[in-house]
Amino acid sequence: MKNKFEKILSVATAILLWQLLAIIISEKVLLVSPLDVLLRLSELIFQNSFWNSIIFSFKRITTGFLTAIITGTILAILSYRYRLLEIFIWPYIAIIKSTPVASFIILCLIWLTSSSLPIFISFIIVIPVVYSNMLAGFKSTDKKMLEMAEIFNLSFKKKLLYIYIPIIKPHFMSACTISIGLAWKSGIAAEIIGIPSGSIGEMLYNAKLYLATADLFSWTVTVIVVSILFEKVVLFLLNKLFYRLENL
Amino acid sequence: MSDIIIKNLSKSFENNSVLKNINITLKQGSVTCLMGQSGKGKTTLLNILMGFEKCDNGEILNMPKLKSAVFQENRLCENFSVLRNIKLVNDDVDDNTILSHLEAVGLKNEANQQVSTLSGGMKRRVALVRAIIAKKDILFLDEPFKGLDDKTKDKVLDYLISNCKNLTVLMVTHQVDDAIKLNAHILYLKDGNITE
Repeated sequence: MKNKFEKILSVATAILLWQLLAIIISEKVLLVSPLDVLLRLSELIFQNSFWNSIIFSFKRITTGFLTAIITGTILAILSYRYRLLEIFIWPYIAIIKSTPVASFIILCLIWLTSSSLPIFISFIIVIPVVYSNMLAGFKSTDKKMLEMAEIFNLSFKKKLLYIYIPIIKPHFMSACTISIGLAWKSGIAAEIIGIPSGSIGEMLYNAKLYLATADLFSWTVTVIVVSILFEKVVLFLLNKLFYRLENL
Repeated sequence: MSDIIIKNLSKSFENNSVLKNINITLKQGSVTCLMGQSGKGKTTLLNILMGFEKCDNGEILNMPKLKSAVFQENRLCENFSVLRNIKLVNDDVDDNTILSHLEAVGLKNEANQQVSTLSGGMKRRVALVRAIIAKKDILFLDEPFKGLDDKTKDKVLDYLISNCKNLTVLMVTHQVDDAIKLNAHILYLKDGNITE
């Protein structure tokens, strides 16, 4: 994307195309118009259950996401340091990467309660992304710069700030950008199958059950908006954090 | 501090003998220049002395712990300012001292500039000032004037002469003139052997 104008233009075109399709199909059960969704959303936002569902899902998906970010980073550091651990871990990462999310959800539904399911599913889907990105970042550390650090007897703190963080930063930011969307997609999928009471997933399930297409679209738009907002906030905070670290 | 003695040092890469029973004494407080054709093992010898590579045979005696270097590549932290790159290697040096060093090599106005925005010659000078500012008992210089024009090189050479008094220096160079100006002991590396 080049600039804001281009972004607005592309979104407006997509909405217009959606509106045209809805007019052509003229069947609200099959496809509601953006206007219908907007009207339904304007009703939903005044209901406490709408906000409670967002909070319910947000809490769980964020917990899974943050736990995966921390665990994935720690595992990447340890794997970078100890090659044996990298070799030991790779089958698990490869399995998680290639297993369908639905398989995990159904399997985990046997072990976990439906309300803790989105936490675990978000966690398990995000962890390979973070681990792989971070490990690739650590591995791309310039050995010549580490030699420089050795010659000048740089402390661990200085090595971290001046050598590792500048290399790791783009990998970490990329991992976060990719995994926020994945966490929301997989977390909501877990809720739709597990149907924890009061979740966005339950609302989507009910919408499907009662053929309430406007509700289905409204909740989908809500998930997209919350996910994008969450991504913006996380990236903003990370940029602040890295700026502070670089200026210590 | 004593003289640094390199005894019977050998190094091969896949049957290619780069260094053959090298015996050198680096006089404490003096400059030694290592000359020779490219790809003949000068940097390998430097890397062994700096501790980055292991030799196949031989020993190095009295190597001081506090080392400093200008590497073949600049190895600067590109995202940080010139000042921070230099301060990185010595916390005890104040900004004014660093600025006076930068002035001596014609970089005072670039002190707060990010290294990534500098030209190759400027980066080389930053790497040199960093090596001089660092606490050290020995200084390794691998082609420190690489990428500098004649005028700048003369300036940097003067800076080096005034800051290397009583310091043990081992410099790799291709220019005999540089070695003479530094009043250096010259060693030639040819076919894995050292000649004076």
